[in-house]
Amino acid sequence: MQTPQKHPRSNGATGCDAARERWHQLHDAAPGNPRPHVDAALRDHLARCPACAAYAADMQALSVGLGALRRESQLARPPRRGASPRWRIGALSTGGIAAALLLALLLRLPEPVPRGAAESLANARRHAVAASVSPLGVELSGAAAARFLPIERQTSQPNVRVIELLPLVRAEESEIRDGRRPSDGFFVGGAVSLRSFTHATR
Amino acid sequence: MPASEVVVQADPRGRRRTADAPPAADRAPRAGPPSPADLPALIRDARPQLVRLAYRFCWNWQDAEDAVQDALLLASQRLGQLDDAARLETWVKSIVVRQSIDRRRQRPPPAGSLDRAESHPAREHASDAADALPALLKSLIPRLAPRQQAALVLREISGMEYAEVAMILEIEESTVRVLVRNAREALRDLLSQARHD
Repeated sequence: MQTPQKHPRSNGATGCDAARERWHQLHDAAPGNPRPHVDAALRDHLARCPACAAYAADMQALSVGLGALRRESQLARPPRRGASPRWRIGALSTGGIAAALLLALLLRLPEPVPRGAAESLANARRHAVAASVSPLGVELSGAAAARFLPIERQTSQPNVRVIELLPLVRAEESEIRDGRRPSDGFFVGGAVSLRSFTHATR
Repeated sequence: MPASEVVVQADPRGRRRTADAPPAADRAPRAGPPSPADLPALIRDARPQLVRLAYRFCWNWQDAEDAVQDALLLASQRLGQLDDAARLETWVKSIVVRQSIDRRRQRPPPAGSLDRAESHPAREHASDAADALPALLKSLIPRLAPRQQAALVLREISGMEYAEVAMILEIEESTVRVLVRNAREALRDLLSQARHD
């Protein structure tokens, strides 16, 4: 690799540092296509300085390579998972999780809880009004902690809250390992466990 | 703009976004800290974009998914540290970038052309230099300093504006320009070294 040389700055001549800085400016303004009529000073310098000419050629080649990576990353698509039976199983499980998958925790505080809200997730979700900070301090343990984000939703029922487990996991990894499916709107899969559970009344 | 194929559009809120970044109509920024509901909304809307961002560092979909998952978990744990809901997406992107760089450094390069390029750079270049260069760059970019790597990938491969890169890296735009230039020159040196090995 040739090293930059010192050139006197006179009569519009450009030094190596300035020429190289100019190359980067032009590249940023019009990558891969610096226009000669805009860049007469740089062109003159490159004609006189082999080191900077090599630098510009290397940078242009690098720009082409990075451009190829940019195009590749734009065209790349995540691998299709539809052909995998295992993925279909996972998708079904996660579908059950993502579409509604809610871990509904119905807190029976001293006040009576309407039976309707406790009977089905659909009913509980109908009453969900807004997500909020979890005053219940729900923490997931083990692998579940890395796979779900617990979001608490208040409901119109004063003592009923719904904890939605937002899956952070890829579909193929989200099998319900104990074979139990969400039933009656409640997900009771063994992969999800609560480590600590406290609550505060509003 | 670093590439003609990357269309930068202005979204209704005046921010600039790259063409592969979908609009987020339901994530209108507001003053004050984010609410816990903002993060799930961001995950639902922007996860594919975040995975693609991570892919540009990892060059492996599995690692990209894992990096985004780790980043979202971190974001959910540290959401209280963010005091401006309008910065949520940028803040999450910055975490994704860091996680992606860490993951790429911890894991060996994926099998395929990258392995061949690393193992036999000279032969690759002798046979088809143009085709080998991108694969060689994939193996060399992780050797850059993390901040140079982040700036270079966001600017040159993701096609972001300098201002957007500056927001994600939380540094001045002029600093980003210096980082990108230094990264280009470091890559030039690494390429030269690889060709002579």
